[in-house]
Amino acid sequence: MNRKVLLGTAAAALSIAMGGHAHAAKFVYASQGDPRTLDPHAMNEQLTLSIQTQIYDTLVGRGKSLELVPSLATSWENVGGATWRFTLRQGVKFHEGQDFTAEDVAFSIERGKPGSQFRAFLAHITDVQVVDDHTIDVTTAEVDPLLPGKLSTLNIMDRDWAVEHDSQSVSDIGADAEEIHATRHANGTGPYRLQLREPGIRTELVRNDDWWGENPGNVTEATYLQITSAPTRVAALLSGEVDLIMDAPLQDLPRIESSPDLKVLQGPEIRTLLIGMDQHREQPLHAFDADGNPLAANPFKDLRVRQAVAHAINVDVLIDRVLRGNGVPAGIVSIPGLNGYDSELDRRPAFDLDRARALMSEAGWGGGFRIGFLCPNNRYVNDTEVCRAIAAQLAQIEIEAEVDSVPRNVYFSRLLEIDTSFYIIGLTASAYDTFDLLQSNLMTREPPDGQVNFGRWSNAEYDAAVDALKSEIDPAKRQDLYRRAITLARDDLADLRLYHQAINWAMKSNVDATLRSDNFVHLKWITVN
Amino acid sequence: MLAHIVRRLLQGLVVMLAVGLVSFSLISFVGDPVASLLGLDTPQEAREELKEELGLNDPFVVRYGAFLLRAAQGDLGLSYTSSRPVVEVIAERLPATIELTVVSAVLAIVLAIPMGVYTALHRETWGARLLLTASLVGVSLPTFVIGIMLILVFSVSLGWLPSFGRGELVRIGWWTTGLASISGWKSILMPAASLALVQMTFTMRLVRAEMLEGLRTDYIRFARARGLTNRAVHFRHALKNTLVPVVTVIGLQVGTLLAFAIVTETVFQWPGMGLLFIQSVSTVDVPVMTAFLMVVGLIFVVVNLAVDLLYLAIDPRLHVTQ
Repeated sequence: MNRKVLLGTAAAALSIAMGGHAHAAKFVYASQGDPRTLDPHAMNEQLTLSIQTQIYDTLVGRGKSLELVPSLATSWENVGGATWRFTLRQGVKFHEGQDFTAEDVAFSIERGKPGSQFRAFLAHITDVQVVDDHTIDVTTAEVDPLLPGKLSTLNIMDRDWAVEHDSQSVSDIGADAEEIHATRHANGTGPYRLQLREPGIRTELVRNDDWWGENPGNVTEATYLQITSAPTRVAALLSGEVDLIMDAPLQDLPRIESSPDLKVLQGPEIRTLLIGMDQHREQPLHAFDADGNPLAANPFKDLRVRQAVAHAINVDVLIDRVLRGNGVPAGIVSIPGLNGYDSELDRRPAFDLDRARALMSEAGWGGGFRIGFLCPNNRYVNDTEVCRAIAAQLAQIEIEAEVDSVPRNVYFSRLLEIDTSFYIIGLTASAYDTFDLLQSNLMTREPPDGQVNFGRWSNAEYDAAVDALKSEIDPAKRQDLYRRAITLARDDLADLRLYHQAINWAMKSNVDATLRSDNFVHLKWITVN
Repeated sequence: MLAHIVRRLLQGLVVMLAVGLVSFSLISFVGDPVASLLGLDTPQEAREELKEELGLNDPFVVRYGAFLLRAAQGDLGLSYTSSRPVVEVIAERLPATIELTVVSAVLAIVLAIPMGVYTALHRETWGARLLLTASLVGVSLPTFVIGIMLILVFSVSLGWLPSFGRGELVRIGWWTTGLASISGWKSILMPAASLALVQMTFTMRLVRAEMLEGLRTDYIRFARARGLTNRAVHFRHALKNTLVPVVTVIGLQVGTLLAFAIVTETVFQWPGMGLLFIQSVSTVDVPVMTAFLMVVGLIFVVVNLAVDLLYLAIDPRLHVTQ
């Protein structure tokens, strides 16, 4: 009898193991970059996080459309004032067997605070109280309605593991620094475990069958490869060595789509491309009149000139021709899908050359001017081509934009020094809320406010609205404030929003994937048929 | 002899210092590492802190001095992007580059010498003309175009060879080799071939020219007069005497192979030092870039020294001019 029971149990166990997913599948995916480190708090970089998030879980999760969902915290509530209480999931274990408790959350927050790239999300946390093993209170200096969203970027590490392996603090790269264990090893609670890590080459993951959540996909083993050269990446897909590439070059998309074995999945990315115009300097940089003399006055201070620029640029042509359809026109400081986005407000100035010319004459700039146009050549999709097309369009209203196309590293250092009066930039909402954009893009530049407001537009009414958003908890009032700020920036053309960039994943036809607009490949949402 | 070697070693040291200085100062044009490491939304204080931590605020002389001091002790710092010791990162990538370079050098020699001899002996045949013309095409097409064409034909269309990577690796101590497995050999074939092409053209033309020169000399005429077979005349006498300059040039070209390997490694995602260099340029990983340039400089110095000494050993006439 005992034997029968045992057999029955074994069969049941087997059927659970087999029946959980249609059939076990291996999955290979690739893109241009490589995760820079596995240390979960060292780098706030898209690709690095997208790999780490397979291994580590965050306190608060994000669903398929980036909405907040329970993860290691099953629920959270504001318990008055500036304190949020998180109730933690029970019975969760790290890959190496340690129990997950509130201590690990407290440790991860403290670890991420000093010197890490996540400090922008954590710096204002003044107190972390462990109430019991599965309850934790987090208090900020001032009321922060967006704290759960900010904590959705924080991976949770096991305290004892970190202590045991001398990885209590975030890795450091100074002259006397040494490599820490967590750079190449990982012990998370996530749906996949780290199997092998060869930096700059491959990262191998295996399914964690003890994961607390539901993994509807059927990927049991996954390999992420770095393939730097775009033609090689496409060739690897065409030859079947790779199942999915995250960054297919636009010019290769028609060829990939025409193949019966391959398909392309396209979706919007949370990244808006826009033109910034210097509204601060009395004399703009790199700007000259028809005779080659530096401009005596700053044309961009005049709303009519900004409007003229807006009317002269035909965004539909940019998207159709230069981006081959891979973009969505943008009109406001928000992105579809973000909390606070309002499609009714999302209108952009129509393409109208006559009106643009009239506005230029009215403003006294009918004769036009020449201006340096700062543009990266390896940062955004077809960036230099987009800039050249814009320059050609602006030439129609006598603005001679000289495209100054530089590599991303030079581009970013020049932006940070504000060594430009006319530039293109692609901006993203780091904690997936319209507030991030409102605060960093256009508040009067006093970092962290207006961190990326390199045109230095400044508007007291706008600042007041965004300041109010920082601590307003009531959802209805928040919506009003979002609308007010968005409208103010739009009507004053604080900057010129162009389009939201698109993501293209090219993959084999037998792969089912969910494309989320943060461009993370989530293995749990991959099914290989 | 010893004095000569010592003198050459001292010259090598000067070259290394110069390479260090040039690479160190050139790298400041690549961009700001802090801007590359930190996202745009990082607060200014954090930038300043990192700048201080990396010693970027110190004057150039201080930074270069500190770098040399540590480099002399074998410490090249931590990679900015991967936070791992640069020495370790380079050592990890070295086997891939060396295997690629050696395999392609062997490939070039094994193919180029018979082709050179053939084109010299059968000057007017269409076969020789075809080889000469084809080799011109090979040398005038950029390496990356050849690489991509090879991938298109052999990986995408025929599906015979992998389009990237090194295949299955076997670890022997700190060295990793792909030459112990079938998939490793399959992987190295295309990169090695595309890298070998340039050197093959040079070597073939050099062998051909030297052979033509050699065949006109008096001792060949005497050899024929003695009634030796064509085979003996061509291979024992003519070819043997052409090989001295050929060996020298091949040796010197190892450096060129290393330089071209950057492109080849990028096209085939070959995880060697060249690919590492390209990746570190795009992220302004200054320690890795400097280390790569120093290592390549060192290889050049060593190879040149070795060739010099070999030449002395091979050709006794050089001792007279000393």
